[in-house]
Amino acid sequence: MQFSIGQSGGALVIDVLETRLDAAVALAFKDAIRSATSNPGSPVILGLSHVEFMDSSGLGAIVGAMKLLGSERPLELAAPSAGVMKVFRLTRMDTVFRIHDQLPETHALSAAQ
Amino acid sequence: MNNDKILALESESSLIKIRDVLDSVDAFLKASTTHPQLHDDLALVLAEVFSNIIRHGYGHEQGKINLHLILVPDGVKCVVSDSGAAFNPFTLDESMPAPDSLCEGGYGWSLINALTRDLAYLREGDENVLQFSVTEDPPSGTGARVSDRQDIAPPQT
Repeated sequence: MQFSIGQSGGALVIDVLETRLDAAVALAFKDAIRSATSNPGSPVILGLSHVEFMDSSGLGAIVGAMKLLGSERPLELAAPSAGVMKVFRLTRMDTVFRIHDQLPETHALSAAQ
Repeated sequence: MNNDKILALESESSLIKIRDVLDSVDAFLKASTTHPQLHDDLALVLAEVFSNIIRHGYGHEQGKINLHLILVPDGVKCVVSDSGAAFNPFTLDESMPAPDSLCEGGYGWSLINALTRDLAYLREGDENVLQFSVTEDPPSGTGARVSDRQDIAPPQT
């Protein structure tokens, strides 16, 4: 699971560098989020521009990541592709997440696997 | 019917192998005149159907899943079969979980229902058979497809 991790203002920005967020990687994704969010910053903004395909397991992993962070540290999303956005819309989970059109400019913390 | 209108493939029942199935289906559809929106819908439906079979039918045991996909004028017809334990997905709740309940699962069968037509399950001998169509005008369309489909060739007869 490849992420690029940076900061923007007070936010922790995690850009997902995977093209698929699916059943095969849902567990690994949640673990990688747990590890990446040991870096400080709130909210946590998850960049989805590289993700071309997401299924319900990928969606569930993002919901799991949000619950993991708790209400004090909101998880927000940025730059979902049309296909990914459709899954959020069909499941009405677009009403739960704040979704930014673009990933904010960041200064890099690290690139993590 | 021409061979270029039918795709038949067999996959191992493993979550990572679903990616190969979707790649094969994508290549097949890209050689057709179907709309890219249909490709996205079908990929999502197939991912959900296959992962349901792997989890429920096979319980993550090794097995085979067969896909037959037939191009029809308004979309594709699919038949997915497996030799796992009898698993009738209609026993699952088809209503979408409430967003504010923050469920981490339970969306798959609802998505399949939202994006397919003529969904049917049969137990034939020791096989589960799931049939459905994915059309260019799905039951839960986003409304975007009417305006952006000028590139579509008329249906071939």
